[in-house]
Amino acid sequence: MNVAQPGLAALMDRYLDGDQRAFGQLHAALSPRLRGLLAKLVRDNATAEDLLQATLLKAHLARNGFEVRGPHPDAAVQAWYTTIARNLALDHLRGQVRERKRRAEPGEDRDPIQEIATDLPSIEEWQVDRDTAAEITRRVHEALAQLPTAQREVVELHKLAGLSMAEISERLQIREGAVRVRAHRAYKALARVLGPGLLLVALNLLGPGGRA
Amino acid sequence: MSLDAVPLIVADLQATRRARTRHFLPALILALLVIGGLLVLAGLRPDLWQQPVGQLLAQLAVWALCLVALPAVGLGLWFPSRPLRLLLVVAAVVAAALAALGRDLWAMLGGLAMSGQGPQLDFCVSATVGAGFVLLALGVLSGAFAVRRRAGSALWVSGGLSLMALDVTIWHCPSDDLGHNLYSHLGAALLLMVLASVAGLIVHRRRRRG
Repeated sequence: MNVAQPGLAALMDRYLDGDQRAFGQLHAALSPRLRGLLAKLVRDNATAEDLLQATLLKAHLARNGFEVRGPHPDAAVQAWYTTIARNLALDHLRGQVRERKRRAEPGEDRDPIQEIATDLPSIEEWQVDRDTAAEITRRVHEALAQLPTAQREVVELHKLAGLSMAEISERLQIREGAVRVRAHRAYKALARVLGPGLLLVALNLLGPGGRA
Repeated sequence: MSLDAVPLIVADLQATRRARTRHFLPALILALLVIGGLLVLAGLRPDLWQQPVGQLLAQLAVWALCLVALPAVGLGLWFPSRPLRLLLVVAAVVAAALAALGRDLWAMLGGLAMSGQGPQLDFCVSATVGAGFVLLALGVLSGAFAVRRRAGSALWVSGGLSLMALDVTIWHCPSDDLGHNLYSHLGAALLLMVLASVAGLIVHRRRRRG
């Protein structure tokens, strides 16, 4: 017997109200499509899987901004998730290009974004992503401001400047073990303030290739 | 290292649910105090425990529905499937009618003539609507009408509040007059439900926009 399943919009609606089961069903319905899209964009299954997880987290954090516009609610849900996934993939690819340029390896500077030029999002889609990133960035900066100076310094050098623990140790003239302890305490405090989900997305955004 | 987002999101949803529960527990306790206070002030019907078992069970079912089930759906603490939601609505209607009318419900459905009393503003109407307004104020002040995104959630809350007021009146008034019970108990609860629903929808609209 073919039992009628609720549509994506109905599932999204219940998920936005806090229904865990609806989130599970939505995740099951959307993940294969998103995974396929991401794998096509980044051409690496492991990276696609990571980006899929980041997409789900980012969508979760920005879920209160979701609104159905237009006559096709199910398509609107899918488009929303697709936009977030595509933007994360583009960020990832841009990060790769920057990394390659930084290493200045000749012959390796082909721009992967050019390969997916036809998949670039529209202006409206970018707006959604900028808003999301701005909101996350604002909350992260508020949480960072609450940290003790010593811990904040380590987080900023680690995530914003992209320094390794050894480099931070050298810069601050303290032992590497002490840097690690400060970093551990800082991330634990941030996770407490932001929640583990937001922290992980925030670290992604705050990274040297991120938007913050 | 691959990150698994699903447990993090589920944990966040569970935390939201716990926060909602913590937020609305005081409102539920206050509602219980209001109900208890009203019953103490007005007095319990002398034949409360001598009522037919079926009718008493229906009244207890109404308490369970209005204090637990309906608010849980309206506040986003419980997400029953569509058939279960329909079953809840039918159960609430049947339980309310049985609780108020008892065996007279079947007599009424069988075409038994009622007493001469028609709709009139008596103590039971005032008590039902008055108790309902106090509970409605609790609902508005606690933000219960605007927890969920859908406006329909306000109807679950207002349904719960109206049934609370109905059960208060039923547990106070010992009347076995079908006309009185139909108009002054059930009718007043229906009127209250309409008013509470309109108020709830307005509050939901304003708060969600704000």
